Amino acid sequence: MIGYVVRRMLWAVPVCFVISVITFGLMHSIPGNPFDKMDKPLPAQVLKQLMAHYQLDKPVYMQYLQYIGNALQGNLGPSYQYMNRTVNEIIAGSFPKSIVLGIMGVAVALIIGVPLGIVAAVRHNTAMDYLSMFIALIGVSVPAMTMAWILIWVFALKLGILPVARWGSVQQAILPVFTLGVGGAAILARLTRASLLQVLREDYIRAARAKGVTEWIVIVRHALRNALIPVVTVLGPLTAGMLTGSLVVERIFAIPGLGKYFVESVNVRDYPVIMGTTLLYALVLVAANLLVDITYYWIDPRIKMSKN
Amino acid sequence: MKPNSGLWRDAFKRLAKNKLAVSGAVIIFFLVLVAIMAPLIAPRHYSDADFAAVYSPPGALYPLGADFLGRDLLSRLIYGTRISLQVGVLGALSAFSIGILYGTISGYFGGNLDNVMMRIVDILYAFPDLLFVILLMVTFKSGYGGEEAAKNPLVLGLVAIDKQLGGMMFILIGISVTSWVGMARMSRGMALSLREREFVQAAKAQGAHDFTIMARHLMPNLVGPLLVSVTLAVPGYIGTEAFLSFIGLGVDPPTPSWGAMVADGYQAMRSYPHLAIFPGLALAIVMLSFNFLGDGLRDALDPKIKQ
Amino acid sequence: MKKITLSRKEFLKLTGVATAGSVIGACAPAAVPAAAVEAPPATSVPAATSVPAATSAPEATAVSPTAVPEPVAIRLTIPADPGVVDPTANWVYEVADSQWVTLVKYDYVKNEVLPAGAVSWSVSADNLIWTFNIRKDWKWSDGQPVTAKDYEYSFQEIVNPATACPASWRLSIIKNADDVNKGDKPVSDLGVKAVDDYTLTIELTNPAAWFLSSLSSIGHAVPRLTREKFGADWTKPENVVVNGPYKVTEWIIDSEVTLSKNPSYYDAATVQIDKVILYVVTSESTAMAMYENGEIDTVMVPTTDIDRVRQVNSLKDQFASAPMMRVNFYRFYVLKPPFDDLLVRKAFAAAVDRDTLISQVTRGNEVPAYTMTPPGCVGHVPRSDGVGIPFDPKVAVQYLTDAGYPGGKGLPALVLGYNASETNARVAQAIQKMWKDYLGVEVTLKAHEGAGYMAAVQSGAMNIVRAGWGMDYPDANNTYGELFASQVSDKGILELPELDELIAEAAVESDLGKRKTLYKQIETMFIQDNAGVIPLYWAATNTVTKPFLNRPNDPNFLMEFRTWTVNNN
Repeated sequence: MIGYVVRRMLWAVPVCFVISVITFGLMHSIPGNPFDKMDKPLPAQVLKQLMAHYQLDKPVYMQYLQYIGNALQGNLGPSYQYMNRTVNEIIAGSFPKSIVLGIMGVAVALIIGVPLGIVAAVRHNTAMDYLSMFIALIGVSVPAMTMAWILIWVFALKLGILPVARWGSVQQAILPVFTLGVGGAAILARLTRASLLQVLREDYIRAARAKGVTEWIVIVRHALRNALIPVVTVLGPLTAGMLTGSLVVERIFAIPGLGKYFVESVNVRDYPVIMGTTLLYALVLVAANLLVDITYYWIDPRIKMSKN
Repeated sequence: MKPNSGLWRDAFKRLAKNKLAVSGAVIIFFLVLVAIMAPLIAPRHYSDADFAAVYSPPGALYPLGADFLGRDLLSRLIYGTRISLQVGVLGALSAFSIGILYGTISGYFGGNLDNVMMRIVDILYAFPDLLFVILLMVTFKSGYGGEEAAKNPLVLGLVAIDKQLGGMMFILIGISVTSWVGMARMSRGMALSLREREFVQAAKAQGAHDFTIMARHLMPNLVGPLLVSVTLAVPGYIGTEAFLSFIGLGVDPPTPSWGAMVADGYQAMRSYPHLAIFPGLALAIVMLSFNFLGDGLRDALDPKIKQ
Repeated sequence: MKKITLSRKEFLKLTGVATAGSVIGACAPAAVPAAAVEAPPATSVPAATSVPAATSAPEATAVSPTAVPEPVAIRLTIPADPGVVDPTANWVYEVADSQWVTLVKYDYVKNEVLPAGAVSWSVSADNLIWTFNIRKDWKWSDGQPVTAKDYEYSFQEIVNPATACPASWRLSIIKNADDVNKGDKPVSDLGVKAVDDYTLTIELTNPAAWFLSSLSSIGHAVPRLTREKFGADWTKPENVVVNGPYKVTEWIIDSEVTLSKNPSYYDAATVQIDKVILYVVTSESTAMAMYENGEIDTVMVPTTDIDRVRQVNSLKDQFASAPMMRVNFYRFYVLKPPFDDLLVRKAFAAAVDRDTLISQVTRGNEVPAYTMTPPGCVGHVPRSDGVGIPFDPKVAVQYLTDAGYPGGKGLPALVLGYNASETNARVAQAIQKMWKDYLGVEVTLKAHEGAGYMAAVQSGAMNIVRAGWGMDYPDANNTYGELFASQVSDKGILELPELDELIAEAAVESDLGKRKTLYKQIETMFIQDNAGVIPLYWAATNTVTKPFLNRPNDPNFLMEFRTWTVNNN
């Protein structure tokens, strides 16, 4: 088990390496430079100065080597757009907020989704089932941007009990976290329900019931463990989904997270920020997948690890 | 031994009994028809702008209202069916085909080939596909480096095709490049377990070629679960396209895509709600239909369900 | 209950005037305008009332002379974190403009230059040397006097290659500025000298009539010692030293910036807003919702909401619209067919219906533009002079036929490019339709995102591109001398030697009347006779503001908080 974990963590290294090469290459193949403003192109000499200052006039592979060299020492470079800040500072300042938002989103998804799915499965084909699934379907089919505005309209503008935007207080966190988590909750609810229904049809469940075990214990001790396996599996992609969703949510609710740097940096060709955010997100995904795999293994020891 | 054709017949019967799945399938079929016949049934062309009608609410002339350029929302929704279905279905098809081939080969041969292929998959899996898609879209949309690249025939060709499709091709490429990975993993897992089964061993003993075995014995068994997976992934592609439109990297205007319409409309939700509600409903309906169908397929193909 | 301490003298003076009521007024705790309460919760402002000032200014308006007024704080939004605010190192926006002062300021209503850092000025007989008398008794926020040496240092830093200031080209008219900027000469060679503590001379390479007004937006005095001591961190709230109306007292990156009134500003007595809180909010619709929810006090109205705001009772009295010194136009790429042909250009220019564009597409109260230089600037040509190419579809069709493309047939594939934004997309689609309807020509649209746009424009891949130009200073030289003159213009812009001569002449001409005539000739030549570009419209600021606040909207799109006032009725 330990060996497995260590091996997977070591794999993160070449993964990040390849990602960095691909991103760097793509980044530099896009025309444009970080310094031209939209209306006023810089005079050639100023541009040259700036490019030399940031060593953008060297060949791409050299820039890459320089970047990697610095990155391995923990220096992710300066931002070209925010000229008095380094990438490290930007990440340190905004990533924690995104993480908090993301974790809370996943938490909401789990806390709402899983119980909803369990209830729906246990009360299969009753009104409760249909109601839960209806709610879940809404969560799946309404995109975050629309959901956000509906919530803002209802709770902030009409009822006036929550603020529209920004981040810092508990009240400000409610709408964005809910918007983010609702999609995931819907997915988890449907998945949990389908999975539990499937498990409840298994023979060993029938056996347990035949032995006279109370239904509740049957569900919790025997069925859930196996039913939750697909749920755990999907947590990896779910986290990735939170990343996507957070871009929309952060923008609409004016939350100062990393999301806007992610998209904006590509638009303004802020190379170090592009690299920094990509690598960071990659690491997060690798970590999330690793956690999922470990949990998977722990829940179901019958799963054999890959044979290498 | 071919997979039991009885399995498929049973599955189909079970599917037919699932009302939700059937409604999903019917809706999808209906949408496909709408997409094909769009020029015939849409009251106006999707780019017909009437400035006197800008922002009109739903009414006699414009059943669902008009957008910020005075274009009929109903017509744009009708034409938009094409885009959404193309993105969803073509994206799914490419993911499916690449994924099943890649995964079957990797799982069947195993050993070092499998190792290498799966490492590649792992790396791609860890890549934040969102960023990759964004980078790709920016590359495609940003003019390809000026004069030199603009003379490159491959680039010119791609650009021409893209224009024909209203800016959709690069989105398709972007989505496909990142989406086959999940399918590949799944196929490989199943291929791994299937290759030890007796019917495969028997075929090998009879001297069948590897490729024959893969094509006739392994892949057909994978189709079922993969089909489920793919159907359930379609709403994701449609959602990705909406997201790209939200950040400005979607189709070129005036091509109507429901995602772009929602992305445009959400800002006007307070003043002109019809602009966001109708495309939103359309998106929701198509996503739900694929979800229902996918769920139904999964239930239908599950051998444990007793009916 | 607040405690007011009065000196004996004040008390005696006031008892003659005040009644018991004023004492009660002085003690009233919550009796302050809602503006003074920082970031109140959302529920307190009912949106339904349309009576101005009633919602937010209860009894405290009768603040008696004995009371120390509560600090007035306002909240608004900015679209992005200010980033580098050092005015010698970056473009200048609100946060920089509020903290440091330029030599002069500009009055857009009267079109005249006003004293700011300099109280008076004069120019030598040959129009090359400007002399400025710096204000005396003016101190930095750390107590040091502001002197001409501070200005000398600031100008030097702008052109200093080590600073890499993107706006350094604005000073290239100053002697040796370009050489210093390239690194060929030391910074001390720059033609800006502090003759003594309160006299500054600036020597130009050529006479430039526009130079004085251009100093209203560049050349802010920065504190040398602080800057050298703290390096790039000198603008942080704990380090910064300012001489302007405000000082940054809090700065949470990407979240909010707080500007507090600076008591050592020379005109501090006229500054009514004590505290400005700027929230960083990217989405304009979110900002609008925050305004309607009472979380901020003024906001720019997004285009989609303008119609609603003008109709809804609770908002329509709060709406104000004012033109901006910002022109949106379409440029032709004239180095390849068909826009190398004057008649084709004229045809396309004459087929643009600006009135419909503005009333139905942009809907932001913009002003249709038939010439480039916006109103309020020297060199603006009034519409009544009739310069420009008016909208006339029949004439447009005729031009096209005369050019050899009757009915639009025979034209090569045309591409119209723009940098991606909702408004640009709409305008492009609308004009695309106009050209189709009136000329029968199909133009393809191409959206580019931000940074790659300039490169794409210069590559000539597109025939017509959308451009915008915000005036750096209120003078036509900023549009013509710095945008369209052949020496500086982008590749693809029409070049005319006679135009260049006129532009050069107008730049040095010191007689205002003659300058105006010259610019009229320039606009006529470039736009009317040669259709170099198609001016579309001058933008407008559309705002809603809570009734207690007065927000004058200058054509200069920077918000100048020192001029904002509070209604005390």
